[in-house]
Amino acid sequence: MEEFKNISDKNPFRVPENYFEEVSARIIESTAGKEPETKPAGLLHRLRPYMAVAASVAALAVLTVAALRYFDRGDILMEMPDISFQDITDNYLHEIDLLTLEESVASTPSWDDISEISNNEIIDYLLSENIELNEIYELL
Amino acid sequence: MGVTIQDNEIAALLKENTGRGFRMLVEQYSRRLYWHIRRIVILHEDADDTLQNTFMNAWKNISAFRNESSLYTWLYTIATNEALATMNRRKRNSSVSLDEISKYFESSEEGAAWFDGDEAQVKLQNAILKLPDKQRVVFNLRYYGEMPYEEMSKVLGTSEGALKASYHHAVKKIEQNLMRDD
Repeated sequence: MEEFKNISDKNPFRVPENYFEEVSARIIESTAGKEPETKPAGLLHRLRPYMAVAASVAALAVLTVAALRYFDRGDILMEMPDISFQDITDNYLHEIDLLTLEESVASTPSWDDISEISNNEIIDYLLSENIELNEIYELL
Repeated sequence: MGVTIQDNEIAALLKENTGRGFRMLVEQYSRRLYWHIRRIVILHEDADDTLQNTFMNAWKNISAFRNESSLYTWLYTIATNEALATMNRRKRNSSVSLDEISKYFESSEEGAAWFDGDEAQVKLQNAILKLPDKQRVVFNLRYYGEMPYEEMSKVLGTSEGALKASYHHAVKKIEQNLMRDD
């Protein structure tokens, strides 16, 4: 039995007087005379995240080539084909699964975040990802 | 919990007359969703904004609701996502961090106006606040909302087994936090 069940389960939070009547009226009023959206989002809107990732990858590729040229490491550059920005976008970019790349970029934590993660937080995360408890305890 | 007669009535009315159906939906759900959101975001102002965003989202996407899930599940899913988004925004932007909420309730006039708990309840809220956001949602839905795991599984898109384990783990951590505070 949970110890904290001895603590009063009365709702300790308050709201302003007549709040629920007022907020319902406010919400209903804000939709009055408007029609719900029925059309799908435009192509440009849907492609925007992919375009952002594509631009990031292209910028990274350009910076890499520029950095290699700047430092002029002859032994490395000798082995590298002369790839133009156009070649990169035409030949390599279309092969990348942009959605996967976007997700991996979005979910990659910084080292500062990782160093502060405790075992409990790791367990919580794994549980929320449907990993069985037995497997988690085997891993940790 | 789950699909009620009223939910079926609202769903039918939404098809017949969207405006009237939506009105009934707001009147039926605003209180329940507010308390669900409030326990996640804690501050009244944030809960108020999040509740409005939840209903605005529901309104915009009402045509996407096809009775495949219950209205109840659909609305709780939107409300939970909106509340977690509010928490993330607050972590990035706000000057009020959740770690300071207990002090906020105890010392601030504004905080005290929206919190009426005794010392034990403040300690319990602090212990709950130390849980990770998603686990806090699981705990609140189960402990305060008494939501069945089957329903919660649909709302959170997580298996019942994982939710049971998560709740069990949350209870243990809350007890440890309360013992540490004594």
